Amino acid sequence: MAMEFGYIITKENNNYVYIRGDKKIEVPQGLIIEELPILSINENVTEYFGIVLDPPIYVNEDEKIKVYVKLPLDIGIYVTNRSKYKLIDRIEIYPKKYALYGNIGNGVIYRYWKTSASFEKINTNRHEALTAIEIINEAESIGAISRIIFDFNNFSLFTKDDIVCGELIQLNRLKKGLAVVKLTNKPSLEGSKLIPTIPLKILGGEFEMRFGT
Amino acid sequence: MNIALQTLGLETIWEYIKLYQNYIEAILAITISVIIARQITKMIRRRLHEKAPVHVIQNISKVSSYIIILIGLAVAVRQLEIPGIQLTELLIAGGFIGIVIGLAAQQTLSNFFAGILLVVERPFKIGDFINYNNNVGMITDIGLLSTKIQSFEGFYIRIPNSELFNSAVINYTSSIARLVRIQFTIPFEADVKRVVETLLNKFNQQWYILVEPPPTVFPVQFLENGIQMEARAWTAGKTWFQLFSSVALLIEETLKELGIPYTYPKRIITEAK
Repeated sequence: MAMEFGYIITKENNNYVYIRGDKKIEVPQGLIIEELPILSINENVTEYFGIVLDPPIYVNEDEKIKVYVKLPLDIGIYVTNRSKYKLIDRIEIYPKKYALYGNIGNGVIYRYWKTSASFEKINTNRHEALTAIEIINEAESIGAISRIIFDFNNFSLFTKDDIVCGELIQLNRLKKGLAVVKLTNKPSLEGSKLIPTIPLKILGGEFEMRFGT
Repeated sequence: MNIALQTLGLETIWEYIKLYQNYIEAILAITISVIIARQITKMIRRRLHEKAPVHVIQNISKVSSYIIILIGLAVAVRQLEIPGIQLTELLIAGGFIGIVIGLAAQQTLSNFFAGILLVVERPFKIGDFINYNNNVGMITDIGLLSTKIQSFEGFYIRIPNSELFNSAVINYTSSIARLVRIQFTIPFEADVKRVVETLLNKFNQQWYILVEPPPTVFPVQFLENGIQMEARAWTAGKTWFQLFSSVALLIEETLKELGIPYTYPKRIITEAK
């Protein structure tokens, strides 16, 4: 995979070395260089990731449903001591687009990812994360869900049998135009192992969608 | 016997305490004020870390700690009841000196307090691009008396804080999303619909142009030399310059691809026979 994307992780004099084009990074003993999947986003532009469901998912009042989507993954190159991880490079697999949620005064810019949702588990490739979304409609009306936004910094990835899956996302539709997106700390596929680059959170992981879903 | 000695010792200590009560209270007042001042200095440093320049944090913490220590000293003087020094007189004298200094340094104090308010209100921070009175540049320093910006041309502009605080300042960086619009003219012979479609397609290929709100291209008016068009595209506040500096190029590329020539004023002169 490394050669395919034009980078190498190797060892020179017992030290890990990362080479990509003219870039060469060598780390001292005690640190290693590792490639791990990372959600496809540019943190310099925004920290929010938005799943745009096309077509939207309709949820009956007082009903709870679960759908599956594929999220795009880049390759993250990390320096690690197996406890802490530091991203040193990112191999971009997907072109990125961004959009504004809300208005220019109070909104946020989010990484725009348009996808369809399925009520069944779907097959993914090595650059996609299977992610389950639980939609709970507590509003007294039928909900049309076409947008789910969350903070990328709190979104953990997991792995099971070489399949990467995202954290289970819960969207609670409170009333028309208002919902809360919660990252649940649980993997979308049961029995998956945490990829420790983004550890599970003790607090936080919620995003209030005040401008509709 | 031991108990008797202990009792005697405690009593003696107590007598000494009573005798020097004023001095002890004065020392306590100063000690407590120094401890509080240190804690407040630490708190200010923690709260303002990376939010204000180092020298601003140092000045604010110094002023705060001096005020607290001065209060401690005032309490100590009151406890000591030193003959010839009356707290009321000290306060009156201090107040008078304060008025004199205040009048003499009115402008400086106005800048000083504006500087504090700028740090608290944070209409901009270091690194933001602002426009004050047609002075456009990046904030490099927010001082206690003045703020410095570096213009695009590379020179520094010093603006007194009171002027910044009391005037309209445009902050380009704090915007979440920004619109860039540009007008261009195409000849009457050009296919307007095709220009619109091709340019929108090109815009949508650029990562820094937002999907929502979508970019738009439309004819504005008919001019002497052609049809005036307007292109509008939104981008994240952080990527504004990327869009601003490339939108004209994107239009130029599109027109070239479509074989549409640049329009210029034309006159058709017919010679009468």
